[in-house]
Amino acid sequence: MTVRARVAAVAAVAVVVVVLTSIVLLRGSAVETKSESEATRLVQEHAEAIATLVGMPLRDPSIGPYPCTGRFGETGDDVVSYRGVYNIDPPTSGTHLQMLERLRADWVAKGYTLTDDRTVGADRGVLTATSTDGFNLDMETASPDGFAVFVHSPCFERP
Amino acid sequence: MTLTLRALAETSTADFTSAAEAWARLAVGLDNGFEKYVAAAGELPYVWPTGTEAEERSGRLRAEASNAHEPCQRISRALRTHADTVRSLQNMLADIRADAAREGLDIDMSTGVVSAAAGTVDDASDVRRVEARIRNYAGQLTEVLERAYALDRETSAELDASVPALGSGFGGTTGPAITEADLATQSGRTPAQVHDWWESLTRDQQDQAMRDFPQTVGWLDGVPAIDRDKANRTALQHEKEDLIERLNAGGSWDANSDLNEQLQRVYKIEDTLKGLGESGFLLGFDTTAYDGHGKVVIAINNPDTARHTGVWVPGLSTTLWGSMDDNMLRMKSLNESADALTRDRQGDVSTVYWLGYDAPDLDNVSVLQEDRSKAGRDPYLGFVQGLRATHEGEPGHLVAMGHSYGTTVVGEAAKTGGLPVDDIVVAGSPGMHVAGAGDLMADPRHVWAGASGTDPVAEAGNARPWSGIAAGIAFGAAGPIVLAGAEYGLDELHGIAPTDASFGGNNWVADTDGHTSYWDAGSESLSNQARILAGQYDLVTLNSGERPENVR
Repeated sequence: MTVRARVAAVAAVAVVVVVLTSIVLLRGSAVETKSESEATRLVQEHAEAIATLVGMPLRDPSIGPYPCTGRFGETGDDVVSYRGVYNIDPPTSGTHLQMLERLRADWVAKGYTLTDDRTVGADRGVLTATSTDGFNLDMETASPDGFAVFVHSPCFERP
Repeated sequence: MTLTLRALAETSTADFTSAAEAWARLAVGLDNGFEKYVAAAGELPYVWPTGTEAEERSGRLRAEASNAHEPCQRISRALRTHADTVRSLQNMLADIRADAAREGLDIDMSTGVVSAAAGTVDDASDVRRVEARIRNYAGQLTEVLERAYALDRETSAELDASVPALGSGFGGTTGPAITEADLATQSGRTPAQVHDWWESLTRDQQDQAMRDFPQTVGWLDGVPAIDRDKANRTALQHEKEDLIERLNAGGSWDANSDLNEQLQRVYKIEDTLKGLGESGFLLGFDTTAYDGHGKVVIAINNPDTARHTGVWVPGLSTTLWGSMDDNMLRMKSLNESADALTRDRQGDVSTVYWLGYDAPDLDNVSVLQEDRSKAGRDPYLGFVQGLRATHEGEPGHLVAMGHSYGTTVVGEAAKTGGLPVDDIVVAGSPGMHVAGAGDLMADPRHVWAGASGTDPVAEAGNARPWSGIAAGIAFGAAGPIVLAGAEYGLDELHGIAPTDASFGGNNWVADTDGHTSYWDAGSESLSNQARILAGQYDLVTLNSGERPENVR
């Protein structure tokens, strides 16, 4: 291969690398745009999926936006995460730990990444995970019983 | 009536709590109606100068309406205490039942008889051991029932005492007007003494003090939160009207600029309270303090009725106007997270934003000095002691909280031995002016510190890689030595960081970046602070330390 051909090949490879890297970076850096109602609906869906597994309804819901920082440092008044906070009454059949176990199995089956999984007492524990669509899910035993459920959306940009 | 263990276990504390809240609402409603009546009846002598009898009757009605307020509040407090104590006895009973079950013993919830389950006693030595255990559990159960009976009597007595006397109603007389001198006298007394004095006044007297001296009453530690809030809102309204009037009257550009800035601070407080709705309590404000940096104390939910209250001190460069939104968002986030962990009662967590001191500035070296933490010590002590005095029902779980330089204020207050809190929680602390957790709390397991691995305030070494590179560029090979020197300097200034292993407290896991993200939604940093505030210590993730027993 001539020197010119080598230079051309290296240049081509470099261009391909730059283009691919740019695509990856651009895809990764873009904070997805979502309306408040759509983001709230997604938070609620995740919470309801948890409640369905436990077999008890969600109580005391509170959903609202909070400031957040995107993966590449995106911030601003319109870049927000939506946070849902709920309670679930103690299960009428089975223990709290059995409910956490059921949830763990479901999340693992769905391909979620478990980020915390602890048993802290005779019937108390914490289970948190990141869902495949980037939501942070957290269920922990409350006082004196039952559960606290927290759902945090990824950073979204308001339209 | 015979009280059984089953009746105790099945008593709904929520019913008593709801009743307590209803009586409290009635007291507030009476108070509001009373205010309207006073405003309307104030015109009576002018429109009907000869109606002396009407005026006299109006005075008696005014006094009786005023005097009805306190009994309603007493009933509310008695019912809340009843609910709290029943809950506590239920928890004790549940613990006893669980312990007994683990030892193979049954408890008859109707008769209170403790017996060994079939097949659990093998030989004669077992019989003696089991009999001893049965006697022990029977003794514990008797004590629980005796406390329940005593509570029943106390609540009944309090309710009876609050019912008006036949014929005389709630009484048609009230005390003398409260003067500025009366209030000045209170400033030298403890919050508990101030509380006793305030409770000794008739509602008419309290209302008159709140009307005539709103800002003084609003800052008075020992006055209940609901009254401080009322007084401060009155003072805020007066200040706004006064500022608008002065601005409308004209004046120099400089003078108007200052007045306008002061008005913006008033609006900031108003907007914040509007955003909080009924959950907001204005417990103090001063829009002119510290060259306009200002002071403000705002609670989310009533700290006098909350079971868990955190009083949070902000740090470097905090001002009333510039930092309100971010800090209130932190308080809201913390409040929601902790409240969800106490499932049985909504709104039983109060988070207080306490900017009652002159936080250090960015444009001078005040952050490297102790003056402002020492100056903040007594106001913080007074405020927290006031919350202890005004809390209704069982003593609440009270938590001192701080961030950055604010943790030095908490440290100064705690090391006096007079800060009446159950836990201390700090984030990103440069040091707390003490050598160890034992200097802050008798039990160091109740001192909780967290710091991000990238927070340079908690540890100068954490400033890497950026400041490490910068130090390397600036000082070459001496960069690491400069960083170590900076850390030594900070330790010299504010003491060893409470996250240091040698400090002796608990070091909670902080997964957030830098110095200002400890309240980010979804973070372990926020969860851990909320778990401590809710007294659910077993849920806290620790780098080091030892968790105490949960708050029940």
